Amino acid sequence: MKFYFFHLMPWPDLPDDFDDKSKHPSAWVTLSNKFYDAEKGHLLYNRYLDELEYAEKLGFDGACVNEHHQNAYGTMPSPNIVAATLVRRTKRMKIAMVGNGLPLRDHPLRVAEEVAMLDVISGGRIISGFVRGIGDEYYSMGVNPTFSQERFKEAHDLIIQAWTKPGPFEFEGKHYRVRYVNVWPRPLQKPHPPIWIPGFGSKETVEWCADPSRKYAYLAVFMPDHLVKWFFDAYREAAAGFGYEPSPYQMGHLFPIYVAKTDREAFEQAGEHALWLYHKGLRHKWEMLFPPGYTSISSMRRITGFAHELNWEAMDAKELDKHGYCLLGSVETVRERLAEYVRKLNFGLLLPLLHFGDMPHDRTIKNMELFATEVMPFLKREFKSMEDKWSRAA
Amino acid sequence: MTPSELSVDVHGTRVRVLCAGSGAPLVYLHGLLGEFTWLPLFESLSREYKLYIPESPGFAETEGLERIESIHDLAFHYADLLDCLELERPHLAGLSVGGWIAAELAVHYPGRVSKLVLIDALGLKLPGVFLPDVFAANPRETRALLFRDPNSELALSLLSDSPSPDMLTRMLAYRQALARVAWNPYLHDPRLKERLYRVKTPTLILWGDSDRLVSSEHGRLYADNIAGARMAIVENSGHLPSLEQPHQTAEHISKFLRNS
Repeated sequence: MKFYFFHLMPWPDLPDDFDDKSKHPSAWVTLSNKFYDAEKGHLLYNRYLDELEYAEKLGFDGACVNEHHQNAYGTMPSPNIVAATLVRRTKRMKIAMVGNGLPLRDHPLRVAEEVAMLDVISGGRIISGFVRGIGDEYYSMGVNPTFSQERFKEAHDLIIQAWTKPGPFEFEGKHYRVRYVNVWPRPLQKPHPPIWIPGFGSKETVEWCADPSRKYAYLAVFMPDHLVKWFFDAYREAAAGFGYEPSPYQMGHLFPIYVAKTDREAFEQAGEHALWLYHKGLRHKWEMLFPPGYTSISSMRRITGFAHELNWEAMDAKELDKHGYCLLGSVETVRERLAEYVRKLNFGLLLPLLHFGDMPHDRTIKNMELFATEVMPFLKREFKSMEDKWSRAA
Repeated sequence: MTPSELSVDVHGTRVRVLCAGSGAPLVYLHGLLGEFTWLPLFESLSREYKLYIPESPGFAETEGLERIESIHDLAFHYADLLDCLELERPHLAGLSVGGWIAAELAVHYPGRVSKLVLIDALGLKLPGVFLPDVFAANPRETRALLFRDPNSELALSLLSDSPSPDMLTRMLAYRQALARVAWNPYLHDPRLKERLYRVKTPTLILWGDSDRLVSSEHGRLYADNIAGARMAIVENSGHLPSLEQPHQTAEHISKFLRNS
């Protein structure tokens, strides 16, 4: 198994009346940036970067950063900038950008260039995630969501070709046309950095990842247990359809984890932060989370059908934990629950979100240390055969 | 009167067209809700005109949205539809997004329109005016944006807070079809105003007095930029006078088509 410490860099200082949903219907798009204080932001960014760098000392296989726009949930509009600060301060661990929001960016070659630069500077330690960006960001960035799917696929194709095909060559797409594609530098890893695709809700994406020409890792993000299973099953089914057995390293799970001495302590210390994430940071307006055409009408009908199950805003910390939206517990509880999860679902990538919501620095560090010293080695031993059988293939 | 429903093949796109009445041909382009049903307004108009009501690509059962990438594609699509229906120079009316398409068609093909009626047409934007976000609105907020009386039976029958699967599909479809051409620039074509001089036909601008989506100031902008255009206000109506005030709307249209 491999462990990648995930950070969202949230903005914790929400207005006092944020619980009033009629005043603050969302932490995205319309929440005024007058609530952002750059003086505090300076301290916060540097604190968060310290936490990310510390992951290497603790033995994590890597650290993950991502891209979100104009919200309090995560203050990393550019994962590449955060990655750039990390590559020179770390020596061993991988830096995963999960990922660049391709349709939201005006030019895919800009992504191809920046990721290639990072890969070369870091000595081949980059994992390049690609995302469509979440629905709200189509409002924030003005990009037409009805073209999201095709822009994503076309930008992806252009980037992969730019990394793998000797230039200059002409790219003739519908959304992107370049007569001289000739990216300098080219990435250090061959044929290109590994690609991870975080997803939520679309079976088509899973099938696209599983295609033998790609074999990209699919990451389940903040999903309840049964949905994680549904997506991993769909991945294996798609791979079987293509005639191969996927490696566990083609499947990953990202969710908040907090480890303490006892279960009770874990809830006392981290319950409120989990609630911050699910009740505040993830507060969306439904129509903004799902802009028109972002998801196919048939998928939307399916999502609307199980929307009541995704009603995390109505759950307390116990319920969030019970459904698998987070995992809070003692070393034993966390070990057991994760081991059972991995045995059942056979995934190789775990991306624990060990800082979440408004968790203070000292708690974050304690959580990271307990996870790294008590949980991670246990799971690595427990699933050693996975490493032996698959890590080369992955 | 019971309309007949035609299925027209427009260069590979199957288009549903409601058709009824007799007289000079009048093509009516529906509004943003994709309200493709036989409305009281059509009953009145079909007494004097041969009425054609096509459904736009992407709305409900009409396909072909993948070929539509801008409002101009829709203008070309409707010019093709006129060819398919063998209508050389019909009257053209349009509501909301349908009005916008009608204006674009009249700009591209000034010779193909006999008389033009734009009803609460999208397509123009007053500088500095922030238009409310119809895509971000939930059903309740959408009713408030579009209808003078958001809780009327009519409004609820088109936009329910707990829609049936069929209504949900229709609501998702209209949002998607509209966003395709109107996400950004939002609900307008920045070049349209400067091209309206190309419209040479008698034009009526009809506007609901309580349109909370695009105010009557936008109607005034159309009227000011189309030579000889007349403007009339429909009383007690929001963005969709054809639905909310069918009799007034029919009277205005008939009077204009007869006398202009």
